[in-house]
Amino acid sequence: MATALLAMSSSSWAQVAPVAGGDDASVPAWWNLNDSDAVLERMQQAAMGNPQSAARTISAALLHGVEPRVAAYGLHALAGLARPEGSLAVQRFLEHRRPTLRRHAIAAAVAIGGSPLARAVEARVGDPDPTVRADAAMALGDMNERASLTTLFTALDRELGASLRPEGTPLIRGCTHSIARLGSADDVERLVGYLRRAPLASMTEAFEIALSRDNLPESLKARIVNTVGSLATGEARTFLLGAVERYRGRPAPWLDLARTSAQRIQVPGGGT
Amino acid sequence: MIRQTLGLAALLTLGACATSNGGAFGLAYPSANTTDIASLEARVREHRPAVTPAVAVVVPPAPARGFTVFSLPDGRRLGQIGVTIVGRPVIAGDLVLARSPGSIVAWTFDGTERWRVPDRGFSLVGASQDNGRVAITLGGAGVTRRNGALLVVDAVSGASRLQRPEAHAFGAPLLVGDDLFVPWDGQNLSVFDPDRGDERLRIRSRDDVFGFVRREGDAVFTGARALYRVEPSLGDARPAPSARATLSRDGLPGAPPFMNDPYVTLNAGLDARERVRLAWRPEGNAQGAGFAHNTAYALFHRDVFALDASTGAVKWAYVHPADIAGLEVARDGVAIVDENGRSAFLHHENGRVTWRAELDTPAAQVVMQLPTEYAPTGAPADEPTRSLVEGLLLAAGGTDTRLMPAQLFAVRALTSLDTPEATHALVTVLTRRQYPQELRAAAGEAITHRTNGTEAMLEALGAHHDYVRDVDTPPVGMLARGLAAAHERRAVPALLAHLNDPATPATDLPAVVSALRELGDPASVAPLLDFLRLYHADRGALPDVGGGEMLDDRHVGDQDSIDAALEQAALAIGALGGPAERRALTQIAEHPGVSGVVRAAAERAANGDTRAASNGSGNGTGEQGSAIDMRFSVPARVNAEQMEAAFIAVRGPLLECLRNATSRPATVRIQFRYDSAGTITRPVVNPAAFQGCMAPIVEGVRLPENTAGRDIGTYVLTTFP
Repeated sequence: MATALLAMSSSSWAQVAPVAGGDDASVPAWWNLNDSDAVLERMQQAAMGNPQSAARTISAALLHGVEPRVAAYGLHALAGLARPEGSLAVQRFLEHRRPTLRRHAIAAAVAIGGSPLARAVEARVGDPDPTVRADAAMALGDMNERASLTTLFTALDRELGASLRPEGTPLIRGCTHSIARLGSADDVERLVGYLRRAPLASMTEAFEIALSRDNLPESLKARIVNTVGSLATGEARTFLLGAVERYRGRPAPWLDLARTSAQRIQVPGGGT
Repeated sequence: MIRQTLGLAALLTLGACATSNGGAFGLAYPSANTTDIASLEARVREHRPAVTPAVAVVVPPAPARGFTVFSLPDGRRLGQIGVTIVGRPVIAGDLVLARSPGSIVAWTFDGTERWRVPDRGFSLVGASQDNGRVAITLGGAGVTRRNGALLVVDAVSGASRLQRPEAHAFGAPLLVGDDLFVPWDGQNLSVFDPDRGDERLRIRSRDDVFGFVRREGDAVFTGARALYRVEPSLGDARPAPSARATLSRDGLPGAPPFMNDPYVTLNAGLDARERVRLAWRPEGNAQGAGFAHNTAYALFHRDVFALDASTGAVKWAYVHPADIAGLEVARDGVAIVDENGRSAFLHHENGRVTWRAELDTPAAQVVMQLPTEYAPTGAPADEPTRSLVEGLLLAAGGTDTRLMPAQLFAVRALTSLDTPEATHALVTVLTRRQYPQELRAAAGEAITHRTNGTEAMLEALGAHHDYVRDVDTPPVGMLARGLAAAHERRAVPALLAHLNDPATPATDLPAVVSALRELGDPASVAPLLDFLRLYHADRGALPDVGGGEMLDDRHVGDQDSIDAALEQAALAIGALGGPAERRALTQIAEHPGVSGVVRAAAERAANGDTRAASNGSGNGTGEQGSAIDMRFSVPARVNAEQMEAAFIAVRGPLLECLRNATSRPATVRIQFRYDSAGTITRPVVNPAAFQGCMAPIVEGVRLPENTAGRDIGTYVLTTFP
């Protein structure tokens, strides 16, 4: 049943799966769902036992309806268990009215993984709450969901057009992070092109990821270094020197370029 | 010489009563009888009107002075004057008259001053030219300021033929051959000898106002608040009904009068009274009083609404890209000139632009003289012909809050159209978030009464918030109410989707659940139970992601709405569900975290008490089939009509709250909670400025007993007359 519901609910809003009373059987009667402290304790105990059974039971308890603090713990426990049996509750809580619980659910979805959950997380990139959007964008990279690249680029464009914050936004950071993790060389090349639209501070993490990837061509990494160096800001210099430091002694052809680019940047007050 | 002979003859034949019953304007002067008026009517018919050229006099925006004359329809510039004028210029035949400090000056269309006469300290009210004479009335301070002058001068030289300073207020005169028509003091229309000033005939208004007089074809018309044809029955104690015509329509944008006060001189240049007004042209070729093509035109800055004069129904709506500085009606349509000097002619049938021209001058005010048959053509072939609904939708749209009265008028007009296209247009207004909230609220309220066009509502309801694709949440609550009112079961999946969408505003949830309950689809039971389960204990704080302080991330005020939705859900499950669902309700009611209202509803529903859901029909079983049937015949909530009826008694006191307000909104939206006894609590008034005054009044309103248990209601107080 859970699998069927997952498949349904991720495909369209109109088909969000109802969760009726049928899952009550998964919650032992002695859990006493009307006593929140007792439920919390049962969850903790269950999490120590058989992961498969624990995930199913906790999931059922969450769907039965619990206080938010218990729900937060339950989702945390499902993340720790990382079992697909917990997916049903995670999926439902990805659409919970409380943004904090949606964020907890995203964290659990990352831990559990799987394409249906990834698609549900992808839908959260369009969430009304900015913190949920940012978490979802970041999570897609962690979930290795390459099919989400289009959404990530669209979200990046949208956010860059909507936000006036010079330091960037969490969503920009989340999108660039995930694109750098999931994207092909072409995708990363495209991402580099965003640098002057997006502040460097919101892209440094993405560039660090790209520089660390073995499956990207050195020429692309050199282009990243060149582009960052062309900004000629103290922030760019810091980034480049940091990269040099991290990769010191490794066979990275772009290291010399990074060092040279950093040295060319004149910073007020000097410094190395 | 011939003219003098004619005048003498007229005096001999018609002036006897004037000399034997006191002088002109005398109080004792008798009212005309039917024979007198019939004779006057015949003289008018026999005297062919002079051919008047079509021209537009354009007064520029300050600080520019004077005016420019353009011929129409070619838009050729004929002449220009640059002197300061005071008061709206008047076109009389081939002359333009205006008050320039100290004088009333007549210019020819090429800008040459032809003559001037002293203004005697008065404003120019009106002028008329015929048979070589120009009649001028002065005053213009209103019908209660009874001081003015009646002048007749030679049209060519300006030589005085008649000067009558009087302690009376004059409307604009009309010369027809050797008869000079003058409305005066609001009550009288007199006909004078234009050379001697003797009064030949007087028609008194018994219960209305005479302020203007105008020739159209073979007939003369007068009036001020209605249109009267000067015909023999005006001499009777009760004029024939056919002699009078007016416009049957309330609530026009800006509430314009039938015509601007004819005893008051408008300003030169921009005068707001000309930007919001009603325009029409009498039909002279028909019997009795009437309007050309039975059409009147309501102007509101840049919007023109054509109205059926008999029914008041909107025939078409036209939205111009700029404010309209001048508008004049011809038989087959209406000519407009906007502030940028762009002119157009709108056809009376459909508002289609049949002619366009550029006058290439900025305009603050445009005065036009158009022959009755003026109907130019020459617009580009791609000029669209818009349907009434399309026109109204255009008029309802936009973000210019200055146009709000016209936008609301357009929405009300759409509401009156019982077509799917009109519903679609209302939904369009409702779903455009950039439109003013007041306008969208009006469209939303209208939608809750629609019984057709649900396709558009379903389509709108299919949208969901998506930040990435820049899609906003549709107005779910209003759409839900409309679809429930239309018994549109196809809405159930979309309503369920919004029930589970975190982007659906909490305030919309009660309406969504109520709609599901009213639609009574068994497929909604399981999702409603899921919703009830997930949120029945959802109160309090929780730890943030990654730890840290406990926080309660629920928006202030949302909990009430969620509780109301949960309460409705419990009642719906009790009514539509079976034993298993009722057992679940019992469990839910036992949770210590559940709110009192939700617990009460769940207990009631679990015990098979479906009174709330089935309206005490005597069916207490809660069995699915019977409960569903009842739902369609008896709405669970207080409907909009009942709401309206309950508020009628306090409408007056509510409107009193607007007295002396710095800004008077077109509508005031009042949202409140009510229970099954009809008791109203927690009213929220928008604009909030009226909360203090209106809230106590609203709390005193008692709605009909209902089955809703607890629900959120909305009353929109319209503040127009």
